[in-house]
Amino acid sequence: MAYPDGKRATLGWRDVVRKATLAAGITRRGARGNWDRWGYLFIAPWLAGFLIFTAGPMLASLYLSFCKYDLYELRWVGTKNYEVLLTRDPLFWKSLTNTAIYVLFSVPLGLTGSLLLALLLNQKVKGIALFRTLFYLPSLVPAVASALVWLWVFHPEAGILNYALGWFGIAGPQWLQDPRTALVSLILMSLWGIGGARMIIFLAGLQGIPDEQYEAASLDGARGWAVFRHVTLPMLSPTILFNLVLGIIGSFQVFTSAYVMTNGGPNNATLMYVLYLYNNAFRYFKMGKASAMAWILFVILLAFTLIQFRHARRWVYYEGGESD
Amino acid sequence: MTSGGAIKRALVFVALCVGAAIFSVPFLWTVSTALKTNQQVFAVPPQWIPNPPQWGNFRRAWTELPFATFVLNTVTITAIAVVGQVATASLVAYGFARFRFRGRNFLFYLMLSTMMLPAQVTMIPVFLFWRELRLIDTFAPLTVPAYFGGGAFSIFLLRQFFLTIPRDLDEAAMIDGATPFCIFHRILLPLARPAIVTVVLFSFLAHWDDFMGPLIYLNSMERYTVSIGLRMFQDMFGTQLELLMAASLVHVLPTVVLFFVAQRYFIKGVALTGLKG
Amino acid sequence: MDRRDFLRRTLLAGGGSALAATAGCGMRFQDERDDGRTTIRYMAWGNPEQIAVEREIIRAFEARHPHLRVRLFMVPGSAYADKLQLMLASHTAPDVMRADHYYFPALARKEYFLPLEPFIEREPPGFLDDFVPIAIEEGKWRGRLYGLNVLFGAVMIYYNQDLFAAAGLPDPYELNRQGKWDWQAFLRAARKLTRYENGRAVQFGTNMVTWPLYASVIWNFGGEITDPGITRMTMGNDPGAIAGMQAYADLRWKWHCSPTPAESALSAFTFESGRLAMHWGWAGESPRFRRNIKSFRWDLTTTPSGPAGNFTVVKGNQLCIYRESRHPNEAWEFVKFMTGPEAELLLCGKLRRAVPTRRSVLNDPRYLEADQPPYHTDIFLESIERGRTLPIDWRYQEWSQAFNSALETLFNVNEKDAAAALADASERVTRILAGEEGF
Repeated sequence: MAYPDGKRATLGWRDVVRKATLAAGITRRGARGNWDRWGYLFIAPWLAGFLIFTAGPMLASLYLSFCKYDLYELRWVGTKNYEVLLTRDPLFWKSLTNTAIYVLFSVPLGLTGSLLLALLLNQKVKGIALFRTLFYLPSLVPAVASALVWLWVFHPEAGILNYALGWFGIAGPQWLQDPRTALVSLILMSLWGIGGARMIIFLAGLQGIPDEQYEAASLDGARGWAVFRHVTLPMLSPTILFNLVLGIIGSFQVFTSAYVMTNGGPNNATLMYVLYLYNNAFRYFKMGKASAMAWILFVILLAFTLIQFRHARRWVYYEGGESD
Repeated sequence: MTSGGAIKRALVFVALCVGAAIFSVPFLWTVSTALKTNQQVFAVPPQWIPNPPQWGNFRRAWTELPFATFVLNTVTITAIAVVGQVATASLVAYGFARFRFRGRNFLFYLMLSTMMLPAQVTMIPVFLFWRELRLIDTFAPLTVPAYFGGGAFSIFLLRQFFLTIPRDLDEAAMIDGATPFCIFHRILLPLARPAIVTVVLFSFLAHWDDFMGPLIYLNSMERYTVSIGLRMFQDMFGTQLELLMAASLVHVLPTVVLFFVAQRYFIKGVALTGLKG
Repeated sequence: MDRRDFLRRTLLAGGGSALAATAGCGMRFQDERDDGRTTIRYMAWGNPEQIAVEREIIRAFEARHPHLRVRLFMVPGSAYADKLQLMLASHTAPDVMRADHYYFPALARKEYFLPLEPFIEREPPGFLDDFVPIAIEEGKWRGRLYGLNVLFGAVMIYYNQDLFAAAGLPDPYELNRQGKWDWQAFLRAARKLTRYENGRAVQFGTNMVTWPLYASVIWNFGGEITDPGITRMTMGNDPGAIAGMQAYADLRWKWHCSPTPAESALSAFTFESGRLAMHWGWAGESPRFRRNIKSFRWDLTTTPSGPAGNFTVVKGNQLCIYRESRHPNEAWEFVKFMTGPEAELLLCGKLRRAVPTRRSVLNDPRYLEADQPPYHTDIFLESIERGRTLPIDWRYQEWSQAFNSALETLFNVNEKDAAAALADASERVTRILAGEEGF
């Protein structure tokens, strides 16, 4: 660092780095360009990890999707896997439909629910920490125990859901045992997670909105709903986008609940896409077919995400002035 | 949110109570079942508070399998991984949020896309990779990846969060000649505390609950984690719900405690977020 | 946060990764100390008692062979198949492993195991004679022997003697001795032993087991599951199979003497609870019943015969040697010991975890004598003698899944009758066996 009197102390490592960067960089964009190059350094850990742990396996699975591989012999078959999946495999479409229905309902409902809960839990009420913990509890219970709890909740006779419905004089259905209601049961189950990760993220987002914004709004005479619509929602929009994108990506890959509780039944009513993929990979030893399924899902999700991000320009507001 | 009138507060409180009651019922049932005998579990009508409570269930759950070892292993793996995840994820998120370098958008979508491919298909190639390094049956495959960005989820989360922080402070610091590292740890990190705490929490949960990872990479029982132990327990005592629930509670307890403790930082974060214009 | 914090964080991160690396490398096979002994790795699943007995067997083995050490590692049973397959595919499999017969053909086909004939030839002649032939047949793939049978046994019926006595019903074990334990007798008992109170079931006569434990019902009504070469499922057009399947499903939907899936969820009607009079199960459930049942008398009988046969379902698990094992001869010594008379007496006699595969043990008074239930040890013998193996081939995992899905319309929701469900199932399974969309 140069001292105010112009003298220089011994070169610190910062100086070395800065000098090196300056020397290496071609300042087409001037000082800004140099500055931006730091970005490469910061994302380097991820990039390295990606190249080592992810890129290779991803490419390997892409290659496998064009092969027939049962963990023993490998044979190139071109697009046969894709052809079979898309035209001759009824379970493929069944699992895709099941998953699409699941996503269609659980994502919007879950998102709204989480947001409402986060708003509710953002109050400075006594014991708020306890309340937050109680709402978050369902997400903390591990999958194994959670499955048992839910089997109990949905139990047609001894379960609390039908018991509660009985109060209103409604005879509850067979839930998980009936192919018509099994999927609905899983969707309902996903709603219990609205107190979970998504809500925490919304909470963090809400806490990140500076009080000044609200003060400015109230000075302008805004109240209640208007405040929500013009201050909270825009400031929260990056978080909403985050939860939306990840919600869709995550819901499409729903696996554990179906795997532990119903194993895809009854009669494939809860056969989710990734569960069918898993069966193909590890139970039937059809790694090629499973890889093809994975890449089909990948394309679907990529398309969804790109559409969302493109559309996001219209409604997402970044205080940091950043847009894609 | 600014606090409203007393009525509003009361309504909020009531809503909280009702909601909390509904949400905690499954958990309370777990606790209740854990304290019952096998006959009481299916008694109709269901008994909520077993009498006398079978505390012995917990002791059995703890001692039937070497849970102490499992817990120690899980704590080790989780601690090492969480540190790495938080440190590297925040660095990478900063890179994506604050710098406009060539290929940034492409790389960002690339990173996101890693979440779109189901883990089941990359499991075997990754396993073979670790096998080549002769690190199967060690903790390395479960901890080292956390030091390389720690997963797209954390990076994405922190990046979104960093984007909500105005650039004014950055620019001011830049003019003063601060290096990017400086800006990162003096300005952005303190402001992102709620998000950092969130990442710590999720990272902890993910590693604490991880089943597939330890299953495929660990062979010796001395190295098993709690999630494998719980599955073994389920295989052995599956028909005895009361024991299974007790074991599950043992598994869940640290996460509940951690969550409760982490609450304070959410509130603290508000105080530090105040920006001057 | 200032520079100190930052430095601390960097150090933490750096130290952490160093720690991760060392923790990783350092905690390797600590017990492969240099003491001159050859280590054989052995993989299995099991409950605590069984593992304790296996450790006892291992200790006896190590005492017999001081230059060898066996390292047992356990994997949860529900994840065992996945883990085994992964280890085999990645060349990290142990020297000796137990493989459930459900997936043994699939693995044997991929040449993961060493054929055992060369080892057997070096043994004294007549080595295989002591074994029950059906147990040996199971371990063969394409005519060569790849595994010796362990945890062998048949599906039998555990019954609650007190409930039978209280209902005034003849004892099923006695009926079986007289040759009168047929489907009608079984059905009569199941119906009489089902009780409802206030419209709610409090006791059921029998459980309904999953495939393939009820295969004997099909055989005993004259049906066949597949053709001999396992290329087609023939049940759709098989009147015997249809009759058998319908009789079985009727237990639940017509006679209501078996709980529905909803009713049996969460283990509400277990045999141990005393709310189930008859339980179809394997020999391996005896240790658990011994441990948990103290309040009523219980014992064993065979599964019922039918109008056209008196078969029982027999299945075991194969103990195999990894093809790439570096100590095949030592591994063979261990396999030999594990299936030897001493080990079988311990595991099957003392623990009743399985049925022995050796005739000498089956007839040994030390095996036949019992100081704890089940006392009817001759049922083990009889079930083996009447036993038939299942048509399990290398595609079993896939076609059994399709089969079960198709039958859910019959068993779970009673939407179709046996004929329709079987027609559907047979069509799906045959397609898979023909290797069509089973691609």
